Amino acid sequence: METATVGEDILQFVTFNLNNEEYAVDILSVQEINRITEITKVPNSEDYVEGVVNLRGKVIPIINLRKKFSFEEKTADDSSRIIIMEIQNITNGLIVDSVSEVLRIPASFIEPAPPMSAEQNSQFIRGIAKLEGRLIILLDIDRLLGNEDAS
Amino acid sequence: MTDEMEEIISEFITEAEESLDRIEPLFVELEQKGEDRDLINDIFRSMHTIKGAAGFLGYQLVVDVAHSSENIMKKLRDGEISLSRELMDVILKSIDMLRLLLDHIKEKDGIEEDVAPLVKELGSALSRATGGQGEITVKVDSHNQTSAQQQEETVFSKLSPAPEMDAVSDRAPDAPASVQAERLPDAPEVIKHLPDAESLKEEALALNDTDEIKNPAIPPKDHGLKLKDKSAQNLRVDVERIDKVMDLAGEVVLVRNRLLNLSHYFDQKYNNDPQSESLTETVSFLDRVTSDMQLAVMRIRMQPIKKVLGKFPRFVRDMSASLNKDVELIITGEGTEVDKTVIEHIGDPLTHILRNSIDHGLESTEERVAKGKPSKGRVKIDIFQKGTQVVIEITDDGKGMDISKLKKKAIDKGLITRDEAAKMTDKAATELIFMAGFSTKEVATELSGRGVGMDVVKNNISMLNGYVEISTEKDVGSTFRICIPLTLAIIHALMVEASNAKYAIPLSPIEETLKVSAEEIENVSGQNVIVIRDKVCPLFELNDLLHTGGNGANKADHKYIIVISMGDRKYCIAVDKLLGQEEVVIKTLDGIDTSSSFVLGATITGDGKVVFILDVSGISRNLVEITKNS
Repeated sequence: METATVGEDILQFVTFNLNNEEYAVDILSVQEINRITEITKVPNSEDYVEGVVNLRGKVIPIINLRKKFSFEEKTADDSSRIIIMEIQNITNGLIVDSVSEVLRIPASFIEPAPPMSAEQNSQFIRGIAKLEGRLIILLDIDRLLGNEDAS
Repeated sequence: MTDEMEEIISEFITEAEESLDRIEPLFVELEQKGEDRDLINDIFRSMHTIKGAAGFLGYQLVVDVAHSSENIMKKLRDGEISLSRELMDVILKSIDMLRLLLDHIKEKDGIEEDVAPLVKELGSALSRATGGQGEITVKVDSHNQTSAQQQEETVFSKLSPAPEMDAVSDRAPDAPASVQAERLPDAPEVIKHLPDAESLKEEALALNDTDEIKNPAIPPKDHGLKLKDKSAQNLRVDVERIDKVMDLAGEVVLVRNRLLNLSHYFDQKYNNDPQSESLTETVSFLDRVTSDMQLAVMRIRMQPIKKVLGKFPRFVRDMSASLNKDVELIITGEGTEVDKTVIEHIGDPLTHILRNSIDHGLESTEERVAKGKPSKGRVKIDIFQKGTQVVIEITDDGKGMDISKLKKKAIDKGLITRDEAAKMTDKAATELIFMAGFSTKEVATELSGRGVGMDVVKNNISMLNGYVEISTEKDVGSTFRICIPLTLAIIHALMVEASNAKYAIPLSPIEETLKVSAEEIENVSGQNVIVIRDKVCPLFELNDLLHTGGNGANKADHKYIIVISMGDRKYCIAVDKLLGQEEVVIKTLDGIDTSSSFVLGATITGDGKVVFILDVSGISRNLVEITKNS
């Protein structure tokens, strides 16, 4: 573990699956995890905006993460979930294939994202956690959802 | 700084700003009416209160400015000097300075304005007016000032030892405040808080000023009563709290809608069951109560539009002076109440229209005389409620708009083509002034004519879900009519269906709904149109507008058509089905860009589904574009 730049704190993440890869988001920004409910399509909106749902009287937009990352599309099934997150005072939902667990990862296990590609998606990666032979991609949720307006 | 002190200061700022807002139009009124003791007294008192409170809090600059202009007011009141334009100008300047100083205090930016030149100007204006007796006057006054300050500190210290001033008025049984509270046993809304202390203080000041009160025999508590009455009527509440109540009321409306659906279902299923009957009864009672509650909550947010209009007399005065035009401003219906959001957003559009009317609408005095009109130009602002809308009309008696000039200008600016101009009706042509980058004045003046402004009018007003229209007649004048719905949170909507999705269309711009057969729809150079009572109206498919991908309506023999009328624009939207009318609560959409989606917001229907509310004014704005593309 060569990187010790972030200090020795232990960080907590919610991990989920998308396109057979493991991803994680900071637990502090996760508000709740729901099953897929009825989603109302937003007219003339971006492709990756799946629509909006009624979350206890609040109307919140739902982002299809597969579409956002330009992965192959997949119809929602029993294991599909919506992760509700609050970023910069705006509540959003992310559709993922399935949610796995809550992980405690020491900061030293996290490596910065390799400068592998000029690929669009790499800008949303905050780092990569290596543990027990697993590689978990940590998402920079502020960039992912905060970017919304610009795109 | 302690919290209590912060509170006192912020209270001071609010009150002082309110006083300034209130007295500013009075100055202009005073100027028109000439000497009016009541007005002068009113202004004098307000200035005095500001000065007193500022002195107590140690804002010396505010005291200096307020004191100097107060000196002038005092002389005016006592009839020692008479009002002149010069005096008025410096007093108004001092009001501006006070605002600036208050801003600095509010921002805590520590910036110190140099008030000395202004104080000097005030002093010399006064001494010129009195014919050189200014010096003595100031001395006498500063004596008064000291004693007034002492007195006010006495009063204030009586109240201030306990940080919670409201508590004082509760505890001390002899304090006038509690006398007041006892006098109003039927008014549960009596809120004993800081402003009471302020008004008491003001009252005490007024009492101590022997010039002010001619009959010192009046017992103090009666005065307390008079002022307290006023404060008992008003209650300052954090807007956030009101919005929270608004939100909750909205939720109740939604639940009510769901219950109505359910009770309707049970009613049909068990229509002879007494329990079901009483459920229906209960729910319909809830229905009524909810509607009443909604209205009541909405009214909390309503404020008289006067708040916005207060600055206009001064604005018109300054503007007429700098343009050398004689202008009279008449305002009616300033008590009309509108939603707080409207108050916040209507100021700019009104200022722009007013500016436009005075600068572009009204002729110069010579021109008016030559035309045989009264030399004084007149601008009228009429505000009234019409149904569920508030109408604001701004009328000038100027030269009216020159349609051909407008068209020519728009062509020159490349905003429209020659062809378009030729086809354009006169009414449509007047709307050209709302296009971005349009300005008809040859030379841009300092005040208007930068080509920005009028498009702001249109934008702000459509943001409020309203519309603006113009009527004009050569040499008679022009009228801008702004129509805004009373409330923005809850609207009546027509529920429609397109491609199996429900949408809500605000009811106010809907003129009628029609069922037409496919043959009645004609196609004129690529654009579908329909003839309604001999008038040709463009027709759009909701499916196309929203790019839902479906074109279900095309298959059917019949179409349901909704005729929308926005100002002078009229167009039709074809939908698959009409579902009925519903009261919907507007939920804002955060986190998605809806600027091009023709969606105003969303609502949640009785069955818990999200339904989008269409932005018909947005569609109307894009009409030209759509027409061109199709």
